[in-house]
Amino acid sequence: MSNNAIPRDFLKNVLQNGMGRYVCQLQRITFRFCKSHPGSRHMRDFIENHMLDFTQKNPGVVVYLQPRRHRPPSIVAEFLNGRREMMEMIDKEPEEICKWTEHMRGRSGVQIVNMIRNNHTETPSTQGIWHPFMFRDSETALTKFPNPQLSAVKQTGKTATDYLLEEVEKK
Amino acid sequence: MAHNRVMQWAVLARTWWIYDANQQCPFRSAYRLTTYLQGLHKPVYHRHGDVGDHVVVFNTRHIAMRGEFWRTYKHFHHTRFAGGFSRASAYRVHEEDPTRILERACHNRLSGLDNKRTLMKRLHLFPDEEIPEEILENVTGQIQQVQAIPKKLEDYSQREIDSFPRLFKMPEDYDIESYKRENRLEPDQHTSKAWRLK
Amino acid sequence: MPKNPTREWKRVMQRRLSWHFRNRKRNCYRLSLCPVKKSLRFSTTVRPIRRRNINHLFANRIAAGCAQHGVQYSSFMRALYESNVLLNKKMLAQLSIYEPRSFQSLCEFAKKRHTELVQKGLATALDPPPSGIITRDMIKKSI
Repeated sequence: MSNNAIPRDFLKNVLQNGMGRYVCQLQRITFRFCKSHPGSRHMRDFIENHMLDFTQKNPGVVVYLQPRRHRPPSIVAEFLNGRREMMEMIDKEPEEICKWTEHMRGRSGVQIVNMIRNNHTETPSTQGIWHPFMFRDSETALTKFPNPQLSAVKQTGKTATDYLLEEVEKK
Repeated sequence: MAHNRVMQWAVLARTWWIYDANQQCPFRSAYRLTTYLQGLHKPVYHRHGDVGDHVVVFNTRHIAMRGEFWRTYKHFHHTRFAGGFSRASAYRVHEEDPTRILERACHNRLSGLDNKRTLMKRLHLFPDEEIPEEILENVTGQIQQVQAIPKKLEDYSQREIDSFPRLFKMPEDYDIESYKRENRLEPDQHTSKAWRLK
Repeated sequence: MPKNPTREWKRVMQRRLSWHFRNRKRNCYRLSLCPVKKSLRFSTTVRPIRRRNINHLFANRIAAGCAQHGVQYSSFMRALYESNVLLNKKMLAQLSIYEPRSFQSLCEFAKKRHTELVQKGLATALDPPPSGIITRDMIKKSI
């Protein structure tokens, strides 16, 4: 019913990432905060104590710091598929901010939506999907239509006339 | 998968079928033809999916009706104006347009469907054996008839008729025409000329 | 922050159910109350109908799949049921589209089963029976 308003999709993965080599899908992450406002104090704490650990562990991710005067703190993650995800960090403690940055690093960049079904496959058929000419006799390519033989009704058994004639022949 | 997109071209290919209406009941034929028009003969059938096929029907002039249906089966019409009601027996309709009865039979079969008009456009009816070449070249399959074509008495040779076993012998004074004479049907008032002129 | 968050939340939840309506029923809270109740009631009545429609769809698809191999739907389902082939209608319908060769072999099996009925005199034969298929009755006879 009203669920049509909520985006839904099948479970997806980016090009089977991690089946062979793993490529981190997070490309850039921006920490936005205020230098003076107490609302950003946890974010400032995070930048002082935890951010360098993150950059050392993940050299492939570009990290930006963006001070903004008297604005709430937030993180912005940009992924390899071009999507950009913003998350408010109001009232979140440094440990929690650490967890959210880890969350962004581990994501594939695909939008998080409701799942339509728990199972889904890109290759539904191994034998080939049915099509109208699959079980058609190959002779029909050469026959000329209309063909009275194809049109005639199949005889399922003996008719009364056949039975009668047989009985007479026996005698 | 990349080739899934190409697969559906074959899956949803619209094929053409041909049907010989010679000596066939129009109502039972309609039952079979509409399955092909709707695509009910395909495993990928869905009511809202446009998977139906084209059906070419020829020899509609030679359809057969059972019993007294040529006389008693009526086609109705109302113009929605007062006194706008009219009806005609099947044989009269058939005289005017030999494709009309099979068309209406299919139309009635598809009643209640939203895509009825679209499906009816895919039904091509021809009164005789002549079918245009541009239509016939599309045809890739033939639909089986619904009933066996009876062999007429004229088609048997005199020798075959004589050699057929005689089950019982009629008495010499037996009047074969008496049944017809006693059970003669009154002329149908609705199809009589006086009613038509009214 | 809104003055009364509970009130606002209530309205948001109501709008989630009424977003697809027409005219002011769509946006005005008071006007949307009645139609939303009605539509929720409809959604319950529609449930068995939807289930039935889906069942018919499966039956139609299986029947179409059977017909192209010359088997009737009823005899096909009966043959599978009697020989304990535990495939439901949904899976059979999917097989007929996505695994047509497997479905074909099921049809051949049903035909073979049909010939057994013919031998008992319970049915009339249509086509010559397929070769290379073994049913349970045949094993019993050989033993």
